[in-house]
Amino acid sequence: MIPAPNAFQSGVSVRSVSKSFGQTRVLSEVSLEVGPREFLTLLGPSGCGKSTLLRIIAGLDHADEGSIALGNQAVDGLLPRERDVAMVFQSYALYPYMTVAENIGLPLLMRRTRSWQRLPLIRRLHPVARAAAGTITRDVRRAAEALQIEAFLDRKPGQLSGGQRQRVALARAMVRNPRVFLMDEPLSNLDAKLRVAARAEIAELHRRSGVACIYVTHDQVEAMTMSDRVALMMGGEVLQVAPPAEIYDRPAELRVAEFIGSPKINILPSTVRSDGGVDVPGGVLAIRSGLPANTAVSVGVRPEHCDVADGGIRGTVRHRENLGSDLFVHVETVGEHRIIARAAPEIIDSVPPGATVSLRPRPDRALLFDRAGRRL
Amino acid sequence: MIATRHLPFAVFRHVVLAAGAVVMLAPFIWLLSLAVKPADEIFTTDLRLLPLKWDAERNFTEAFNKVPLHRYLLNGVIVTAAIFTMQVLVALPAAYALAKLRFGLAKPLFALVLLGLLIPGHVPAIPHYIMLSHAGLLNSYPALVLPSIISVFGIFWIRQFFRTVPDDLIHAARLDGLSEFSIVWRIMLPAAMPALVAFGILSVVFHWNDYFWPLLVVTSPDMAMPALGTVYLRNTEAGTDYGPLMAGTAIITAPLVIAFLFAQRRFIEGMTLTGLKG
Ligand SMILES: Nc1ncnc2c1ncn2[C@@H]1O[C@H](COP(=O)(O)OP(=O)(O)O)[C@@H](O)[C@H]1O
Ligand SMILES: [Mg+2]
Repeated sequence: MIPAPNAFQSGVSVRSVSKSFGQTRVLSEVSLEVGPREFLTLLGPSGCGKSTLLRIIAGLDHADEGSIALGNQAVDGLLPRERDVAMVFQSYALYPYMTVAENIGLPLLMRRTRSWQRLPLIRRLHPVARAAAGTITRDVRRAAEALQIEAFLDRKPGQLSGGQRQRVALARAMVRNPRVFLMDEPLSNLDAKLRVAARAEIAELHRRSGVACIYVTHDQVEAMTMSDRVALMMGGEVLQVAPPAEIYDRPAELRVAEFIGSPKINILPSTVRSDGGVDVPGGVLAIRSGLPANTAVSVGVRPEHCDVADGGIRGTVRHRENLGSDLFVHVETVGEHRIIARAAPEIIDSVPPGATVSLRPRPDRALLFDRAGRRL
Repeated sequence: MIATRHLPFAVFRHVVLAAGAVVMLAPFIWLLSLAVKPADEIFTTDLRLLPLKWDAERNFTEAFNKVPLHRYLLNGVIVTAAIFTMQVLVALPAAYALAKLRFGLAKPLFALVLLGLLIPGHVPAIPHYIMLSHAGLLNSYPALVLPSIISVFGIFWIRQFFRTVPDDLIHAARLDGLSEFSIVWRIMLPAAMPALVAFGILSVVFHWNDYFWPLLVVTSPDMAMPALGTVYLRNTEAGTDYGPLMAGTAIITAPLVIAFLFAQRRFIEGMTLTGLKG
């Protein structure tokens, strides 16, 4: 976080990494390129292999196949400590018997002193060891100030709140200017309000550090708000790597479209008509698909691209969710397909449960997927 | 209200516990009682806890005069401390490897540790004796210490405790630049403190009170461990003088009892293995 102008900066390359635990294939052929100053989020449901990938990058676990490079250096044979990466764990993993200052200072102590200089008496008396201790105290204080935890330096982690512990974990990672930050769901143990504040703060700290960051989360809001790019993982594969807006507007496949966006995108099983439009349950969409007639496709329409307006798909209101800023209307069309449409909260009285309404998806925003789930 | 409802049970519980305590404590109380009685009161037929004539001073001075009690106590401290230190030096890295490192031999090695738990300590006594004899080490501190430095129980016990330490803590330490040995001493040792204290008490009590092994390898009285030392009190010349014998036994038991009283809470903590919190 203390930007050193000559600090060695590098990105991360993950090249066709595969990993199995016993019979279970956890990662298959994962490849990723992370730029030198980029904030890349690994987004995916829990159990999809995000933490495993992070551990492999850090050297804490070994890939069965594939290789990892930091900058231009292949690091496959290197121990975790030789890779110069810093990691923030979901559980924070603070050393419970050390004070906050000792927790933050430990990575510096291990790097700036030799083992004999850490022996009890020498630590106090040897000039080199004492000089190192001085620089460590100074850097620990600076890191603590950046994260506003300097008041807790003498406490043990057990005496801190969740938010404070999370800051200590961040300080410990940032204090030593690593080549790359790895963060494994660092906000998932915080309450909702703290999480929003911490999101902005981590993004800000990352910008100042100027170091690549791989941030793991299963929370799409974190991914959308913090990242330069998002890598969407599922079942041990990377499905798409793209900036947040692109992954939202132009998902590469159906699974991506369904994972991103809340409420979930509406998927309508449809058929291409001979006039170029598409038959959807309960109506017709004027899309120029360019596909041959009778091709089976899935049409994806996000709730905000589906207006409650006359002359569209007819259906019955089943449920309403008023968030104050938005109103989500759940509508059932023929064949018991549910479509969620976003509307202005003011119209809530005109769409009571049981009422018949008409929905008009915007054809220009509709997404078409083939039967294999690829976007057309 | 709850207290009154359960009153009969509470009384019953306390009576049972008190009876148990009396049974356990009776020999010690009797020992203390004999240690302060003059010789002619020891063999009277009436049961009396306190002596008619206090003779504590003579019994205790006699105990120190007849045999070098202080020497036995010193031997006890040196040997039990050396054994425990070495046991920790061996057991901690071994337990860490068995609990947290993934390597091909981890399972068979742990099976060997479990097997070791099943073998009574007396079984390897003769081979140990022969080895020490060939090394010319009989009747020395090494003879008392060396056979005990590998405690399979200690390895097993601490390994179970290490299993409760989260992997992330070790991962963080590896990234922070700690070697595997630094992880053992800087991260795992403090985490295992309650287990170590409990193990330490067991180890010290066992070796302080051990009679069998010192009897085998010790030939001169100045190498005797406390338990063996009291026997020298008994064997001295014309018949046994029970007053000084009991006084000597009281002195030799006292350090353990006092240590236990001080460490009682940590001991119970370790025994119940509450594990890591926070
Ligand atoms: N050490 C391990 N041994 C066996 N299976 C594991 C191990 N670590 C992770 N897994 C399995 O690998 C899969 C991916 O785990 P993980 O990388 O933690 O997922 P995520 O972080 O995305 O939630 C899970 O199904 C998990 O059960
Ligand atoms: Mg995870």
